[in-house]
Amino acid sequence: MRNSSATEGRLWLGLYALLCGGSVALALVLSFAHSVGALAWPPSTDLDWSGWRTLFADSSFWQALGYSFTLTAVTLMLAVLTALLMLAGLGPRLRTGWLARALFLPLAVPPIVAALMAFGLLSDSGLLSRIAHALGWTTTPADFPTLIFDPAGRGIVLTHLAMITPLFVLLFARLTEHLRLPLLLQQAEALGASRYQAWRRVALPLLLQQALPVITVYGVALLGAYELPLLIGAAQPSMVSVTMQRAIAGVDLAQQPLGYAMASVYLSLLTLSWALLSLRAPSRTAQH
Amino acid sequence: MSARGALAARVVALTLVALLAACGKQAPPEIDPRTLSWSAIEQAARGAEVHLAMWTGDAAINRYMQEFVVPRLRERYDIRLNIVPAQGDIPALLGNELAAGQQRSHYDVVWINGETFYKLRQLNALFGPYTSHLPNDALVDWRNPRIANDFQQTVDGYEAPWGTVQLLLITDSARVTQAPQDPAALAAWILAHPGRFTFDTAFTGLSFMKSLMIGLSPERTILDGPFDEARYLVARDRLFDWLRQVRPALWRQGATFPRDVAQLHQLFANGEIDFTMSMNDGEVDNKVANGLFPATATAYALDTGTIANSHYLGIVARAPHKAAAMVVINELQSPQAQYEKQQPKVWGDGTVLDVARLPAPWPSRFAALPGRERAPPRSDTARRALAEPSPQVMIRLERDFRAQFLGD
Repeated sequence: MRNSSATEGRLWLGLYALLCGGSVALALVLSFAHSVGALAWPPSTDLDWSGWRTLFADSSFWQALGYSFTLTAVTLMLAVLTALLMLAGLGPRLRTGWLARALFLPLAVPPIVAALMAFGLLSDSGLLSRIAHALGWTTTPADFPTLIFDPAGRGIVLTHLAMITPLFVLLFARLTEHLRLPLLLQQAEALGASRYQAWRRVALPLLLQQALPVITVYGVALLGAYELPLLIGAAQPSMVSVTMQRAIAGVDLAQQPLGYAMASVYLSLLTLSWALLSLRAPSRTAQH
Repeated sequence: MSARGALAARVVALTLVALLAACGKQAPPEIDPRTLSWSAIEQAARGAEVHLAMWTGDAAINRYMQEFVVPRLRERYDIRLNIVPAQGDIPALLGNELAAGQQRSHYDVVWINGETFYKLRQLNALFGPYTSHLPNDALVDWRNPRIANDFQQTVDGYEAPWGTVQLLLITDSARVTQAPQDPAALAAWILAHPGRFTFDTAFTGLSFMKSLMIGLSPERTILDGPFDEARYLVARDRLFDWLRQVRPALWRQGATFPRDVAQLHQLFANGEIDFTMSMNDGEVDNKVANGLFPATATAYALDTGTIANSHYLGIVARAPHKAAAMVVINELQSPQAQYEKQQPKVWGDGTVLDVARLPAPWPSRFAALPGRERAPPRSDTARRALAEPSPQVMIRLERDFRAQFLGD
């Protein structure tokens, strides 16, 4: 009986490992195989390393990676800051009633719809531009600040911000309840801390520490975002998913090995980051 | 990597792909439909489900396929046509299937031209020659070099012509009263109207640049024939000089460009720019009819000419339903389907049929097709049609443009 239970446990564990690690490993092996032409048809006797040579000789992938990291970091920082300000300002009202329910609304909007809404709102001829024109602030569409197809990616950041900030507000509101923050803040203030000091020294470290895994997961999702950068981003610079897709499915089929080499590096970087974070996690838990 | 290492890497990769493909059944030996009579082919096609991989980015084309073609095939031949979205990735999709040793493809018919056709022929991924076995092939205007040649390649019976198109510039006559008719006049107009002109960096924009490469050359045949590096560089440098001259006056000072023609159309429809362009010369009527472009939108070809080409249908070499694929393609080439497709409000795609040779009443029906209201007649634009250069011109141009103007 115990043996059968142990076997069943190992089976579930194996399935779990296959699901979590197997899919990533398979994607890594396949993208690498494509990048060196190991799956090319008709088969060739030699592996083709031209994609990898181009990857390291050419700056486009590294620029795209840097651009993606920058936009992701800016979006996450602004989203966390906005969510914390809303939490501080609205407090318990965010946990119940229509305010709490309204937070779920932006979460239900798919990225492609968000992109269309952003276009209608933020483009040179969008709603905001028309309002600016009606108020006499601008005379032509070109006078409106560039937000869509913007090389600086401001439209992408603003749209992502609108999509994820409600989730962070919800997360922080739940954590506030879970950690009994109002009580802790009250105690800190009773011990002589100002309201600002209590938030900075007590609430913020606790909230950020608890929310870090979710923030990281959203960071990874933003880093690899495709629809929004494709629909409202500039042709150049482009985010990493768009750059990879252009190489893999663009007009120049000879760029496909380069696209798969980019995918291999991107996946490897993500896997490596995950491994490093996982190794650090137990020691941090032990400290607390 | 050593030869042994390379072999090991290939074995590991192919094993993984083969494992994924292992669910596929062994294909029974198949009869080559080319050995059958047409009535036997139609009989063999009954009840089949045909997968057509095609670009699905245009609502009008999708409507034509779903509302006209799909029901017609079902009613007449009991064929279920399943449209699968695909575009430039067709060679990669079929190449992966071949590499995995898949006996039967997931696709039967592919909508292709130019570079895709070239690559698929290299992969031996196309079935053929087959077009001469289609009854409607006798009606095709094979004497037209833009139909018989796909980006300077002879089609050799491996792809059946489906439609013809030509690049036209589209402007709003309410905003641009005197549309510039040649590259020099266009440059002058752009410089006089800063921020009101741009083009996309994908297929349509590249076709615009190819038209200028030829239009700016005294020799209109400069890009004809197989790819020639020296001639390409001469034409490219003339184009890039023109672009550098107008760049500061382009939309967003030429620092960025719309990614594709859909974005370009959007800017034009929103009034942010005064020109868009289309590789479908019937699109202006279609977009006006759908309320997307203003009623004052008009299309025209530059006096120095614009690129014209054809698009085709190929059958996948390992297609599970080749007989049904032939019936589908024959039906798409039929006078009825071509007539429907050419209507400006449906798709506006030019026919590949030699209309004068069609049986009655088709010549008169085609002649009575509602005229293009916002584009010159095809006979007029055809006089300004430029032959599509070899696929390598587009590949090199895309790479060089990105390097010199987008900082890639």
